Amino acid sequence: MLSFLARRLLLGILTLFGVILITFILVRVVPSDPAAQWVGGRATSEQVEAARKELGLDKPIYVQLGRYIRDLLKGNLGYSLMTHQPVIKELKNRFPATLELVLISCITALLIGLPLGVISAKAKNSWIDHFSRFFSIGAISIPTFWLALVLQLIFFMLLEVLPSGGQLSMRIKLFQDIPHVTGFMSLDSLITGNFAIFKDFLKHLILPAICVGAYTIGLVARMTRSALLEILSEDYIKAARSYGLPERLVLYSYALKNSLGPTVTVVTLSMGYAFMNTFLVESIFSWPGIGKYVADAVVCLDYPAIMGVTILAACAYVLLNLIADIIISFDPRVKL
Amino acid sequence: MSNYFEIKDLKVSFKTSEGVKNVLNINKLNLYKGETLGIVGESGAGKSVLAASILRILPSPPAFIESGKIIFKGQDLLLLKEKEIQKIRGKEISMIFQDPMSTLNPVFTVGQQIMNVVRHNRHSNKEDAEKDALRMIKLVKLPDAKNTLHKYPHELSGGQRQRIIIAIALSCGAELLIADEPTRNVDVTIQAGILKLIDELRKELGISVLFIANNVNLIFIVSDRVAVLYRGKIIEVGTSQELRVEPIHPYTRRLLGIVPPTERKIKNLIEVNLKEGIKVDSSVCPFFYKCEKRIEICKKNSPTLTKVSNTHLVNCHRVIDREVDNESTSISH
Amino acid sequence: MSKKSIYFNILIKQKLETLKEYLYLLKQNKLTFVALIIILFLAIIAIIAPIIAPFPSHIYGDVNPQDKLLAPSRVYFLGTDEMGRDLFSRVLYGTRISLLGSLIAVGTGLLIGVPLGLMAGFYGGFIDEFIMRIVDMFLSFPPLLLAMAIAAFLGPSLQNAILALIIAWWPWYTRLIRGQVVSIKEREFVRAAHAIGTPSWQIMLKHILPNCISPIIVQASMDLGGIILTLAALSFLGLGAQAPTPEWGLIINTSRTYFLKAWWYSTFPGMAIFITVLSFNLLGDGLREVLDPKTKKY
Repeated sequence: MLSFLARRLLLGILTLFGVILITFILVRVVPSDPAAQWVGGRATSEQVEAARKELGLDKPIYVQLGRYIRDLLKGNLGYSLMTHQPVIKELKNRFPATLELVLISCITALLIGLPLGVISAKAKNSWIDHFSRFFSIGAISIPTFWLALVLQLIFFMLLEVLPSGGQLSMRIKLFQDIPHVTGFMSLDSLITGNFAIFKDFLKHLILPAICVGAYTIGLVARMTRSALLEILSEDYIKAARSYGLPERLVLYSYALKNSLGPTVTVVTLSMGYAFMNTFLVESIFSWPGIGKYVADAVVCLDYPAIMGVTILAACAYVLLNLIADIIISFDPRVKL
Repeated sequence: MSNYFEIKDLKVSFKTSEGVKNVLNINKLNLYKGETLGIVGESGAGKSVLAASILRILPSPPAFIESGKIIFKGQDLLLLKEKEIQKIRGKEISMIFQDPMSTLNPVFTVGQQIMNVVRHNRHSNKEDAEKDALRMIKLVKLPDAKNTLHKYPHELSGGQRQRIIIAIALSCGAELLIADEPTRNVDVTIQAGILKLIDELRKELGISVLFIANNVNLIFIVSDRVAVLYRGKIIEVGTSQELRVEPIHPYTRRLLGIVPPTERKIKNLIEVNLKEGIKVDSSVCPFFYKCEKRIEICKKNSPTLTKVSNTHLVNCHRVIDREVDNESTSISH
Repeated sequence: MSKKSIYFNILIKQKLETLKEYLYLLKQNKLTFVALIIILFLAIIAIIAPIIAPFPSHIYGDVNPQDKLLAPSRVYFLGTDEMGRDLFSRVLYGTRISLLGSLIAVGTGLLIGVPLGLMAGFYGGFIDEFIMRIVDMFLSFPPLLLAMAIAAFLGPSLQNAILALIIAWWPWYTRLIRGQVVSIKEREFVRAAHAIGTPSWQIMLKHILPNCISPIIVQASMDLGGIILTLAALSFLGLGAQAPTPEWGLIINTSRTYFLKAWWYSTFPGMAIFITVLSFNLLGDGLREVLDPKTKKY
């Protein structure tokens, strides 16, 4: 078991290193000049030179790479060109909001998608199956950003029941003390017993969560269905039925236990896609997370910020995949 | 003695891209209590379909039972509701399959698999189930029962897995065992052990066995009576002895390797079929295409099972009730 | 009849049989059939877009400020944008950009990914390890993130966005086909070909490839939709097509500023994306039902 973990970890670190290397190379190849960006459009050439020295861009490439990695290990991701704040600080501030959105959307999507997939597989080719297939394929075909705009149009403009953006309404932000225990608004407001804030938060959460979760629900339902169908066509299921085992047991015990592998894959993928969708959705809903930060960074070509987020995302994925691999290794068929 | 187990007019078909194909059309088949009835036929003859139809585990679409009766101890199995047939499965009629590896669930230990079946069919608790599991493992002559309980299927050899399958199938007191080519995927040396086991269990537990195989010599060794299946139809049935010594249907004779007609002869037969545009359907004898003994009537209507003796029936136009056409019995051809 | 013509006849008969089977299955899945029709329809639109567009000059250049932000009417079927351009014409032309872009991206991705996967699976050993490590690196991210990062660094433009997509997508094909190759490689007919001295490349092309083509076909048809979606997302973020290109995602991006006043501006391009991607996904899903031997219905 230990050697398995070690191997997986090594692979993860290798991947991370690859990502770092690639981002580093890409930034140096980039047409625009970070130094000029830093000092702004109207700088004199001396100011640009000074900035270059300050940013260490005058040193040879391998020194820069070495410095970069050293900085990374210290947690220094450079300074964001648009806000002039350390990138790491920006990420720290905004990450919880995104994480909360992703987690809540993902969990809801799984709670809807998994049962849908299971029911679909069980009742293959019935009307439920056809409906859910169409629904899931529809869900993965909708452009997330478009869904966001349309939902805003309907629920904010037309029906006026939901707010158009932000995490909390102005009113609450001005007149109430925002609790700050874990950094997760839902938990914080519940912990401190402040239900008004909690309700307000939920109202703001619904639309973004639907947008982030829509693709995920479709993905989860389809993958679960096909994985389960494959398992159900196996011989041991036929044999189990022939021994007189009730259908319920066959499905939930025999079939499901074999689906650990595919299920973990599904959950991992869905978190990945949900995370991906936040980038598209946050700016539309002014959700104060990384997605909005990155969307803005991309527009002004703030490379340290982009790199920082890329590295953060890479770390998150490596970690997620590692956890997934560990869980899968509990399947008795997997040779460690 | 009679009507312990009887199949009457069973028609099973498949919905395919070319319409509905009839794969099984059994007029009458009996199984007597305590005997081993062997079903022999080539691949595609419908043997597995027959087995699956009895326990109603056909893949339904595309397969479906058009009509017929399967009477077991006075009950028509085809008329039972799902819940009722579940009571029969495993407890009265049980089945063992061809491939022991794929028939066992890879994520449960073999002990758990036996126990699951016992717990559900007998509503016993964990300790009793474990005792039963141990008993069954010993019954199938596997050594070191206690440790075997905790092994996963992939940790056992092919022969051991097949014995576990038998253990599971017989764990709840089934009195009719359907063995669907149980030794096909097993080494020849292990095969003998498995067959011996099945025979011993039959005597010990007093069960009846429906043994399905495509190897005719194997069938003769294990069965008391034999039925030959060709393209979904029973074309000959009789005791092992009768069929071995005096096979009558041209197909049976071919199976037994009694000098078959030459390649050229068969090719000519097929060419005649093509020329005359003869299609094999339910109104023509199923063996018409390749039968070197066919006569005019064979392409007009399908024969029915005719008695040659009390125990020996043949599905052929050339067999006249209680009499046998002299030509077809002379062995030298 | 000569032997050759007999074989030929049998071959034709076999192909017709398979075709009949596929058509039967396709007919069973009416949704897939409809999807196929829609895609053909879209392809035709893409080709003749400049001809049937009511205001072809609005597509790229012309600006018509007096007609800006008009609601859908009989003149302007889908309304106009902030520069007075006919939305209908621009959306129509956008079909061409999206379909062409995704075709190029998927095609090139296949061209890169499939041979690499074939080689990795066939030769095994170091080549396999090397290629698959690189592939694993790419595959740990969802494709959009990767494409975003690459497009950001390459510089925002439609071409770079397509390039970014190619880079982000080819590893999926490599992994898919490598898995297939590894299992087919052990089969008897491959060993037989090897034994009589068939050169490796011939084995790969003539024997192995045709047997693993179906999952690739399914994946590619769904990717055609997926790439349209990702391309639109990239343009939406500002990383893809730039103004005045009438790419669907870009139009939606520009529409954000006005969307409370001009609902049509955001709605219709998005609907176009949705219908297109939906059709490709339905087609891919239907193809999977037809081609996957495990879910085949005889």
